[in-house]
Amino acid sequence: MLFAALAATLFAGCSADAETSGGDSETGQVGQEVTGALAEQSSGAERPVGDLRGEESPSLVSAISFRRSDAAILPDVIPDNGARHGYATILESLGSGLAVVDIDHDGCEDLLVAGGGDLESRRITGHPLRALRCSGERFVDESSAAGLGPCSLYSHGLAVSDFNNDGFADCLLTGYGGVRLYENCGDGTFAEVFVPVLTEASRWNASAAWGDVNGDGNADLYVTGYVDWSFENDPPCYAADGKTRDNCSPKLFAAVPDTLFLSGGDGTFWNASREWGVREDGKALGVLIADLDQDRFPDVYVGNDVMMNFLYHNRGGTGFADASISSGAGVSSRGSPDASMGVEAADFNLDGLPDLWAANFEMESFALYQNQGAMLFRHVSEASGISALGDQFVGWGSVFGDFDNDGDEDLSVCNGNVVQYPTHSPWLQRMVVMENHDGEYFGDVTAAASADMLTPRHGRGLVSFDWNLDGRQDLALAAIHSPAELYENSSAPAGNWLRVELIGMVSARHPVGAVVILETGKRRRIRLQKGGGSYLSSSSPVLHFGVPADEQPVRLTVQWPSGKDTVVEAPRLNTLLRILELRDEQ
Amino acid sequence: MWSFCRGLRRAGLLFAAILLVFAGVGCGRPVDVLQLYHDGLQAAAAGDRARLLECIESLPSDDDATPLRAVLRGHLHCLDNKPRLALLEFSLGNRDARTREESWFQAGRLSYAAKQYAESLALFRQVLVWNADRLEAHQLMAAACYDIGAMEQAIGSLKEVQRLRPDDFRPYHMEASILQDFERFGDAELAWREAGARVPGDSRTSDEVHAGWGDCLVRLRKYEAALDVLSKAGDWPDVLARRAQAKFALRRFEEARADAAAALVRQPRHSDASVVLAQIEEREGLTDAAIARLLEVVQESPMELPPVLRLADLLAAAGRVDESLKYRGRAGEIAELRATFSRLHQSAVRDLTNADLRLQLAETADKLGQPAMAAAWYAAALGMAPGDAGIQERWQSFLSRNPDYAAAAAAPAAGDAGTVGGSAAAGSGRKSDF
Repeated sequence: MLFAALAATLFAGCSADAETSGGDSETGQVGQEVTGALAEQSSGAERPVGDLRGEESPSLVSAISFRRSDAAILPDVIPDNGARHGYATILESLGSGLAVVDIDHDGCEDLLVAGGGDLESRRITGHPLRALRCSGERFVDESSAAGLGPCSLYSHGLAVSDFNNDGFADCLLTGYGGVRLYENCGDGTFAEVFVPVLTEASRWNASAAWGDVNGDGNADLYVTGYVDWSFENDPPCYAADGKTRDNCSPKLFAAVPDTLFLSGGDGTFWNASREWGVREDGKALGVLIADLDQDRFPDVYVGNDVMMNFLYHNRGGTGFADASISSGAGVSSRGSPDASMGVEAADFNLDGLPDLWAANFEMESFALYQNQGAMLFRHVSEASGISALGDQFVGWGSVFGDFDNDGDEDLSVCNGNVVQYPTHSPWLQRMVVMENHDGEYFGDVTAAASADMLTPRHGRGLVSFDWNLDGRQDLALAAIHSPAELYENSSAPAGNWLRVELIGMVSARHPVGAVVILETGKRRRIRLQKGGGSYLSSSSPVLHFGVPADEQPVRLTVQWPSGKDTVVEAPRLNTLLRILELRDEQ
Repeated sequence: MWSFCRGLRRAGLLFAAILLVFAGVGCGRPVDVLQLYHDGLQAAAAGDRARLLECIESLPSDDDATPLRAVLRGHLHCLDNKPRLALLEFSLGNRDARTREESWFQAGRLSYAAKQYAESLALFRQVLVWNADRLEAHQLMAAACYDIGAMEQAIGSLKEVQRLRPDDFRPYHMEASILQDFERFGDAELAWREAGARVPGDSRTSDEVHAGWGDCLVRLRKYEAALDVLSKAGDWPDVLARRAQAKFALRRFEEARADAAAALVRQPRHSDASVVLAQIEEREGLTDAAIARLLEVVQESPMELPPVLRLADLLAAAGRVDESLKYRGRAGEIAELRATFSRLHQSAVRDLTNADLRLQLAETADKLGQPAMAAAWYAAALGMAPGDAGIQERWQSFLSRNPDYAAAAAAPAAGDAGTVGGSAAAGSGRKSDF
């Protein structure tokens, strides 16, 4: 103390010159012999697909292949983020997503692409939602015909479900400034529906997901909230040179809460966030609803940026238990929070339990959480080969799919940096396709799968669907500054397939939380009816099973959220099964 | 702000090395007053008291030589472990153009040695205004900034040291260590690369640089590159454990087992090596053995998060759900403490004068079972607010449980003010080294 005073006195005024800087089982027997209201099977042979079981099938090894479709198939749609005005805001970093929806029920799934927005003169405005109608041979931009006119919302994400159970898939659009709900009129057009309570969603929303969490047969809605950025709260952030403006880290902004809206079934919703225990401290970008513990009540997994991910265990449709810590699915292998964007779920290791996925920021491993039962998960990225991808990727849209129809679900992720002048990894980044080796580990096969996927881009939204009905899962992605892309699966036929579309009658029409089990003589595989997932995007609700050439289906069981079961004996391969849930009286 | 390569980095030793004052020749036959003065400074740097005294006595006793004589007498008092007297003498030279730079620098050095960080930083800044190329001022600025958690400023000073000493590996080594502490692994890798290119081969420091560099590459999941770099480090337990981690991630399980086992021979219950070996045992169906292994580790190091997490995983795999949940709960508590520590650490980077923030860091580190780190932060807090009774009380409470760390925050009331390298960092290890 004395010394300090002495120094201060004897060298007074010395600081002026310099500064430092700084379900009861109800066996429905809905097989392919049964037709009509309960089930219908349509052959996928509208387009020749060849004999997928032919003896000439090549080896399963590295069979995955994708071919990028050109503009003659998918018109150029480039979502805008307003970056050209040079404000370098964090708003520009989120990008846009896309959704798969069969708008007109013609069996050929269409695409919706969020248009993004603009920042001219620091005014945040929106671009229209785009509708790309599948004609069977190609996609046609029919946004105007679909009633999708001007949109004031600077949009990011799309979440699809039949919220009013009328048989036509509706769509929620998220973004900066709230959400917009579009009702499918059933005639190929959408109409915006104003639901007052939805204005209680946070100002800035990223992903959203539908799913009947309280088991009343109506699709409820979970909307993520990101951070409290605005032009009024936009501190200057700089690139490594200390001079050039660049996008800020989310660490600089406070979290805004996620919102859970429960549906009344009549077009009304109420905000049940507090009642259900939704946390208010997340900086969420991704959300997934699926029944992770197979108790018929769907659970919610939220990918948060720069903080722990949230896992909400649905307590019998009465509320959520926060299992973020106890489950192990909230943090990295070292127990630290990651910066997560896209989230997904699938049974990667074929043990009958849904596992979780989170696409993370550079220098963090993408996270694969193996389900151990009892809502316990373990981080297995290292043991499963995921970590061997390295440290370069900033991951976003993520989808599991059996791309080579060999029976296990592979994985695709699109990537791209958030800052304009990154110092560690590239601004533009390639996609990743990881082949699942019989549930044991994943290997990066992107280079073998598609040279186009190696093209660096600003990947964001990613969906899977079978656009050309050839029994192979295709991919579509939305990027920043470049057109949306369609990747047609051109994998050599390594096995057979079975596609399953579920139509809830007691459960919600789009029965998120349903689990479909396909048993063959050798293996038992599950597929999950999911709400949300990936990033800002909604994949096809049609579930896809790849079946190895040497296996024959014995039984397919649908575990509906209502608690009922439907069993289809010996389903025929290479077909689409449409399965309606039986009501008690049927 | 988490780092796990405890023992790999020897920050204190590094700083001590950085802060070496290079000796010159002693007092020669005086040519003029200024020459006498400079000879005296060289004698002081060499610790040659007799020559220093000779220079002082050879200076004329007129007013013109008073500042010169005062500064040299200041050095004499430093050699005699009398810092207050030294400071008084140095102050007499603080205005003369010939002596002010040395006077202010030495005052800064004494202030830093007494852990008076704010005062020392202000003094060094002024020195650098007069002479932007004063190497020692940049070195001590870096050390002082590091000690109070001002990492960006510390790195800024190290950049200056790198500019002035382009062939020296040490400022790059220190920069890499700081960046790695802040989990800026990409930037750290670049600094490690620079350090690796400069460090003399076949030396312990070379081993240390490659160990740190390899650790960084494992964090970056550049496993092949990590193995290449780690092959140039010594076979220390931490290094072997990193090799095991890299090989496990590359699915080279047998090699990973060998490295993990070798690490455990050298350091039984090494946390990371035990985790790798337990995972391999589980793959072989030896889940009970893996659980037993990790239970031992967790018993010994209850606040180490990775083994607690892996133990919870293994217990769940064995169907022991209740026990798994118990360890998950503990993991959650540890994770929460670590998150708190990281948050405080980030704040300390921005708030350079808040002693209470340093106190909270010390207490959180203590709760995390890291007494060395806690002592370093207590030292920073005490240095910023030496008269704060609350901080003193908590420091004494800490010392009563951890008497071995008494030296960490001990300011040299009348002690060895010349041992400037004895910083909190040097005495107690890294501030975020878990």
